Amino acid sequence: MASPAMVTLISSDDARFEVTEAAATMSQTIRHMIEDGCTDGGIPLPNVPARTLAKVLEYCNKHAAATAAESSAAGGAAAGSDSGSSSSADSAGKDDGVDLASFDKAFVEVDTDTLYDLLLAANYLDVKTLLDLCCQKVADMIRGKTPEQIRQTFGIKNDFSPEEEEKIRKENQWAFE
Amino acid sequence: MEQQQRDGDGGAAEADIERLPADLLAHVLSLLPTFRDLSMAGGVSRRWRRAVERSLASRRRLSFAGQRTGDDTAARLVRAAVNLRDLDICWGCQITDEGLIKISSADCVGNLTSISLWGLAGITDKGVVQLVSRAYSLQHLNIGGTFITDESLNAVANSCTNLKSIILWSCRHVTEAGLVALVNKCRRLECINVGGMRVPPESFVGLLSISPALRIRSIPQILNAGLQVS
Repeated sequence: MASPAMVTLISSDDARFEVTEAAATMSQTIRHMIEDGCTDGGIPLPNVPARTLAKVLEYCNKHAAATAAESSAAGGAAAGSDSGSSSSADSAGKDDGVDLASFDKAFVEVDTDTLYDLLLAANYLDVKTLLDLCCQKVADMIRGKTPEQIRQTFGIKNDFSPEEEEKIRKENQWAFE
Repeated sequence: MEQQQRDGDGGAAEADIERLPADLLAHVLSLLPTFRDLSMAGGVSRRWRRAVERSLASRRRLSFAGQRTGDDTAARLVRAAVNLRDLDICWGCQITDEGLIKISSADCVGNLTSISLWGLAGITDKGVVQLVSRAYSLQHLNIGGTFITDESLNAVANSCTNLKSIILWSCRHVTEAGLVALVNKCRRLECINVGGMRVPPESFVGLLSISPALRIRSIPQILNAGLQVS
């Protein structure tokens, strides 16, 4: 089996990351750069610092491997004739759904600062599933809370005038009944 | 709770979430499952209030089902949801004719393809006529379990010429005349649910003679068998 194509990504603080093309192209932004032939000497990502990029690539590696395992499991015979190269992929394919779901859940169990970094990076790199994952995590932190509790959770300042505040309180009254 | 304590301990001075650009915050808010959550988020700050409006504007579907949304709240949210196609105000909402009239003036009403008013005990012809008269694009209407009469059906017949399906389950004040007017005018009508209505079974034969391909649902079994034979 030929070794997979690799690309080099360069973070905003000049750290270099070697990743498989399959993992890198989970980012639509990077995919387009590769398609445009802008890969010589590495792909610069001026908006993503190394710390965040490492984390994003952890996600992309995991998901790209799972996707590869899935397609090889679907394409090849179930019995492992080519046991040497595919045994790890096979085992990854088996509990794929459960495995990935728990990976995703654990992946966003991070402090809020890291979560926003990931969210912004996922947006810039256009990794849709990661963006959805991060946004959902933030939404989960908002749900079920009152405005004051939301402010406390996220450290937001209340900039409404007393009149506006009163108007909003009236509007929202139904939700407390 | 846990989150609050953690943030308290960490003493995060800056509102980091404000780093998210407006469109991303709006996207996050669009993932909130209930309108209670959305209303709460709109009370956080001016920036968040704008983000709530922005997230509403991108919605295709709004459902107030099972929530005690009142007239004013529902109307305000529907007005903000300028791209809405599918509006579900069903049971549990405290919506009256006044609410429907307010909703009927929202910009999106002319583009709605689906409306459900299922089980709203507080509405009458007055509100329904006003709403459906502006809902020219309507394809699916669920008005089961309400106290409407033929007056509402006539309004549907006159305004909603693209109607494909209607659920009139348990609309006991609707008569054969209303059904005939509907089937006569709404030539694209494919399916009608008449379960629990007080219309004599023979009248369904009449509807089929107007529109032979019409599927009439929830007729009691025996009558249904009879219809298929005839």
